[in-house]
Amino acid sequence: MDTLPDAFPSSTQTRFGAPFQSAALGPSSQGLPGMSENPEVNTRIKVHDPPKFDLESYIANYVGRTRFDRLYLIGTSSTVLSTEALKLAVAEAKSGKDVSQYEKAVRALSEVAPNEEDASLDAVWVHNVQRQVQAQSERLEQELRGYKNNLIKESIRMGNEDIGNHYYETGDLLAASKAYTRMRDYCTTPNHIASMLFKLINVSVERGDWLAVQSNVHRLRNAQSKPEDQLKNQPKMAAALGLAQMHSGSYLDAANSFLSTDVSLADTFNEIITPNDVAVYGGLCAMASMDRGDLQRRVLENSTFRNFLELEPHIRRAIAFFCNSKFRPCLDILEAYRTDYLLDIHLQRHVSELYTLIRTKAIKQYLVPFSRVTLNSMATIFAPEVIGGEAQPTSVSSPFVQELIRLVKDGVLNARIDLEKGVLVSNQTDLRTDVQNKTLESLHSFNQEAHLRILRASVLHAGLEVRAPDSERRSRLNQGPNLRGMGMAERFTRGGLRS
Amino acid sequence: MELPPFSLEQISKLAANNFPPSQLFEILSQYETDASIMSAGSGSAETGGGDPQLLSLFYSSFFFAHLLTKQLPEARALTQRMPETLRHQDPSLQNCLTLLRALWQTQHAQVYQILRGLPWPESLQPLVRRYESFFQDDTLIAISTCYEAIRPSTAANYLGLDPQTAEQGDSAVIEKFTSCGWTWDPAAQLLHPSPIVVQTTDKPSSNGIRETMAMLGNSGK
Amino acid sequence: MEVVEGLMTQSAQLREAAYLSDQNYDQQIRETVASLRHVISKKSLAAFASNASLLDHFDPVADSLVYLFLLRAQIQAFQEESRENVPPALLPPGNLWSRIVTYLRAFDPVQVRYAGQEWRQLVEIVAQAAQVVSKPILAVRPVRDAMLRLDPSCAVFTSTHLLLVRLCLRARAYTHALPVLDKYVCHFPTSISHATSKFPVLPCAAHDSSLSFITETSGISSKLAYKDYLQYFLLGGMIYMALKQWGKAAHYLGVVISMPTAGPISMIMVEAYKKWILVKLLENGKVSSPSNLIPSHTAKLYQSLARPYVNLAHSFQRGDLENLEAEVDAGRDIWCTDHNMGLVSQVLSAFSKHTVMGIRQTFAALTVKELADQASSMRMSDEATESAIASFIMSGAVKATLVQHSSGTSSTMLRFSAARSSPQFSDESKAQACLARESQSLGALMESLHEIGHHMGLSNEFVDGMQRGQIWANADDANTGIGEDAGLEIDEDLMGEVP
Repeated sequence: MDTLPDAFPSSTQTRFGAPFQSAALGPSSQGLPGMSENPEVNTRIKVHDPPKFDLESYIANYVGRTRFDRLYLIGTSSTVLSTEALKLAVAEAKSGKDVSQYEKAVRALSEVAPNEEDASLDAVWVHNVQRQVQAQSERLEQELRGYKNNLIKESIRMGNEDIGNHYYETGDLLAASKAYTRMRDYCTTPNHIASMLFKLINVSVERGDWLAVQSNVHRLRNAQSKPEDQLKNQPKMAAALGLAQMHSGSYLDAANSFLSTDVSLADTFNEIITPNDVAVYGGLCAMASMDRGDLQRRVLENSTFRNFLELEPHIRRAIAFFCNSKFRPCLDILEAYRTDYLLDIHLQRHVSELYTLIRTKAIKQYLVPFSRVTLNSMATIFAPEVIGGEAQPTSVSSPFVQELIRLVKDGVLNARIDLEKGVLVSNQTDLRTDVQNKTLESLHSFNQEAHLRILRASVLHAGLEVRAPDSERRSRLNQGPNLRGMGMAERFTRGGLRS
Repeated sequence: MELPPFSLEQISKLAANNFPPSQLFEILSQYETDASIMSAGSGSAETGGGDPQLLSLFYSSFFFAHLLTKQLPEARALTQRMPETLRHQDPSLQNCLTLLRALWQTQHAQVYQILRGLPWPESLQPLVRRYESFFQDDTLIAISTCYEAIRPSTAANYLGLDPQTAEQGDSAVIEKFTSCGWTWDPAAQLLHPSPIVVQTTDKPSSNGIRETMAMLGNSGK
Repeated sequence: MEVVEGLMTQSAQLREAAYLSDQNYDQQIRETVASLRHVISKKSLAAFASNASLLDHFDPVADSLVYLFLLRAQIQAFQEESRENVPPALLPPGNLWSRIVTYLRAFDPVQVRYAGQEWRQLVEIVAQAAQVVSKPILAVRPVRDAMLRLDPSCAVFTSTHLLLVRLCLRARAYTHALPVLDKYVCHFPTSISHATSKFPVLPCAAHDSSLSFITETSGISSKLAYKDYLQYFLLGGMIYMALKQWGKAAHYLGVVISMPTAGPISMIMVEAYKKWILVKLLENGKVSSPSNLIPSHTAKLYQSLARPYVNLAHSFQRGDLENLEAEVDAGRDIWCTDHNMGLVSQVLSAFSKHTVMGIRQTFAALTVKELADQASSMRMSDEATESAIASFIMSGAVKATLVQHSSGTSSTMLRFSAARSSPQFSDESKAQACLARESQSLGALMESLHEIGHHMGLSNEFVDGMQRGQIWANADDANTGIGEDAGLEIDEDLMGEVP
C-alpha cells in the first residue's frame, strides 16, 4: 500500500478549518471563519432567477455536512431563495455541533434578512456547544493516550477514528483528516483500510482537496479488498473520482468516470453525490468533451448510464438533440437549467465553461456539412436574441459576429467571415496550389537545413569551430610557419580594408 | 566585350537607344568603373573631379536603368555611390532623389508629376519618357489584378491621367481602359478591370512537382 | 633580355603541355611555377620591373603564369622603391592597375591553381588600391570576376569571399555580390593528404568539386579562422538585408547562429542573432524557432543576450502596436548602438502589412472601414488606408482584390477570396520557376554532401550525427570579433515606407 501523506496542502483550504494546533485548543477561535470568508465574497456568483427545484425536497436528497454547505451556497447565491435557504442552514447548523457553521449562517442571514428571528446569534447555545465540544475533545484525546499506552492496535485505530469523527462533526476538517490518516498504521483488515480511505475521501471532498480525493481513490483501487467488496465500492469510487476530475477541468476523464458509475450507487453516497447529480455532471461533461458519435454510442446507448439519465430526462433530451444536430432545442434546455446548475455546489464554478464548450462544439458541428452558411441562419440558431435585438444582426459589431471572430482567430473554426455577403465560408484549399506551395516550402527548408548541416560538418572537419580566443591563438601558433609565409597577404585581408 | 570609351556622346547614345533594359543596365554598369575613376580624379573644387555634365548624365541614366529593371533598393544604393558634391549640386541627380522618394513611398501621382514636370536634361529625356510609360504599364498591370471594380478617378490617379476629366466619364479616358480589356459600367460609373497577364518565357513543365518530390524523397540516402 | 626570352620559351612549353596527359601537364606547371618563384626571389628581373613595356611581350591569357609572376615582380619592385604596401604606381587609373584588372578578367583558371598565393596577392592588392583612393567600387567587379573565374562554384570558402562582401558593403554595391552570395558555400580548404593519400590529386585535372584544388596549401585562401566565415555570413546577410531579400538574409544569419562551438559563443553570433530576429519579423511577421542544430543552452544564451529584441518580437507577434511602439522607443539607444535602428524602423512600418495579412485568416471579405476598426494600427483616413492596402496587394505581399463603389462615400470592399483565373496561372508559373531553382540548389547540395562523405571517408549519417558531438559552450567572456567591421552597416531607412 502506498504511503499516505502526512500533511495536506492547506493553502487553499483555510476556510474549511483552522490549523491543527489552534483547533486542538478548541474551535472557539472565532475570528477564523469570518477572516477567510472575505476573499470569497467578492467572487460569489449571484443568481436572480428562481430555480426549477423545490428546496425542501432537494435538500432531503442529501445527508451529512453537505446539507449545510449546499444550503449555505444557495442562500448566498440565489437572491430568490436566500432567506429560506439560510434559515434552513441555520437550523441545520444548530442541529449539529459545528459552531463556526452556525455563526457563518447567522451572519449571512443577518445580511439578507436582519429582522428574522434566526438572524441573531444564540449566545447560550454557542457557549454550551463550545464547552461540550472542548470537553469531548479532551476526553477523546485522553482516551487515545490510554489506548496507546496499552498498545492495543484495534483500540488505537478506533480511538483515532472517534477523534476524526468528532473533529469532522465539529468542523475542524484538517484535524479530522490528520486523525483519519493516523489510523493507517493500525488497520488490520482490508475493510478497515477501505473504511478509512472513504472517510478521507469525504473530508477531502469537503475541503475541496481534489488531488487528495484522486489519490485516495487510487489507493482504494489498489487495496486488496475482496472482489465483492470491490464491487460494492466501485460506484462510490467512480463517482468520487469523476467529481475530482470535473473540478480539475478534465471533463472527458470526468465524463468517463461518471459513465462507468454503477447504478448500485443509489443513495449510498448521499453525503457527497446523488444519482441525479451523476446524471447531470456526467451528461454535461460528456456533451462538452465528446463528439456526436461517442455521445450516441457511449452515453445514449450506455445501458448502465441510461438508468441515471432517466432521473434527469432533460439531460437525456439535450444530448439526443445534440446528436441529431438540433442545436437550438439542445441549447434551450441547457439555458433553462442554467439557474439550477449555478446553485449546485459542485457545478457552479463550471457551468459557464461547460456551456461554452458545448456551444462551441455545436457551432463547429453545425458548420460541418456546409461550405458556406449565412450569418443570419446561424444567428437564428445560436443567437436568436441578436436577431430581434440588434439593428444589423450580422454586422461586425454584433456580439454573435464578434463571437465568431474570436472562434476563427482562436483556430476553433476552420472558416472565414465574409462580411460583404454575410456568410461564413469554410476554408477550402486549392489542392493544386496547395501541393505546389507545400512542395516548394519543404524543398526550400530541406535545402537550407542540408546547407546548415553540410557547413557544420565542414567546419568541424576543418577544425574551425568557434572557440575561446586563447585556444584560437594557440591553434594558430601551431600553424605558425604557414601563416608567416603569407605575411603581406594576411595583412591585406585582415587589416588592409580599414578605411 | 570592349566598350567604346566613356564619353558624353556614348552615354547620350545609350540613353537614346532602345536597348532592352537588362542590356542597358549591364552596359552602364560596366561604365561605372570609368565614372568612379573620373570622379576620383582632379577637377574643380566646386563640382568634384571629372566632367560634371558627363557624370550627371551617366549616373542619371544608370539610375533609370535600375528603375527599368525594377531594382529599387539597388537604385537607392546607387544614389549613395554618386559623387558627393555632384549629388548635392546637380539638378538632374536631385530630381532622381526626389523620384526615388516618391517611388519608395508608392506615391503614384507624385511620380508622374516628377517625371513630367521637373526639368530633366535633354539627353536624358528619352529615358525619362521611357520610364514614364514603363511605370504606367506596370501600374496598369498591377491595378488590373488588384481591383475588381474601380472608379475612373482612382484609376486615373494611378495612371497619371487627369482625375477630373476621368470622373466626368470622359470617353477618351474611358477608352484608354476599355482598350486593354476592361469593361465600363456607365450606370454605376465603375470600371471593371480584367487582369492583364504578362507571358513569362519559362515553359512550365507539367510534371515538375512530381520530379522534384521524387528528388527530395531520394536525397540523403 | 635573355631572361625575357627564357620566360617566353617556358610559357610556350607550358602551352604545348596543355595537350598532354594530366600527369605531364601537372608536372610541367609545377616546374614552371617553381622556376618562376625562383626567378622572382633572385630579383633577376629587378632591372626590368619598372619597365612597363616588359609586359607587352606577353599575353595575359596565353602566358597566364608568366604574366602573373611578372605583375608580381613589378608590384614588388614598386613596393620596395616607395616603401609602401600600395605604391602610387599601382593606384587606379594607372597603367599597372589596368593591367592587373585586365589580367584578373582573363587569366587561365587551371594554371593559376598552382600559383594560388600569387593570384590571391594580386586580388588583394586590387582591393587595397581601390580602398586607398576611396573608391572600393573599383575593386568589386575585378575581385568578384576573378573569384568566379577561378572557381565558378564558389563552394569552397576562401578569404576572398570575405574580402568581396566587405568591398561590396563599403562600396554600397550590393547587387554585385549576388553572383557569389547566391551560391552555397559548403566547404573549407582542407589539407588534402590524409583524405586521398592513395592517389595524388592533380589540381589541373577536371574536378567535380573545387575542394580538390582549393586546399590549405594551395594559397588560394589565406589561413582561415572561425571569425572569417562567421563574418562572411553576417556581412552576406547584411547585403541581402540591404536588398530587402529577407528570406536569404535570414538564412545567412541562421548559418552564423548555428555554427558549432567548442567554448564560448562569439559576439558575431550574438550580433547575427539580433539581426536574425528582426529579419524574421520582416520576412514572415513572426520569429520561428531557430534551427534545431543550435544546442538548447546556446539558444537560451542568445535569448538572454538579445532580450530587448526578443521582447520586440513578442509585441509584434501579439499584434500589439502600442506595446511595440513602446518597445521601439525604450530600446532606441540599444538599436542605435547595435546599428539596427534602420531594421527596427522597417519592422515598425511592416506592422500594418502583417496586420492585413493576419486579417485574411479571419475574414473572407470586409470593407476597408471594417478592417480599420479591426486593426488598431490603421490610424489614417479611409482613403489612405485603401491606398496602403492597394500597395500591399500590388507588391504581392497580400493576396486580395479591392472593389470600389460608385460613390466615394461607401467604403471599398476588400475581398480575400478572389479566385481570379489569370493571376493564379502566373502564380503557378512563378512557383514552377521557384521549384526549378530549388531543385537545382538541391542538386548542388547533394554533390557537396557526397563530397564531404568522400573526403571524410564517412557515411552521410555522419552529417546527421554531427550535432550530437556538441560541446558545452558558454559566453562568459564572449569574444569580440566585430571591431573591424564596426563601421559597416547598411543604411537606415529614413525615407519611410508607405505613408
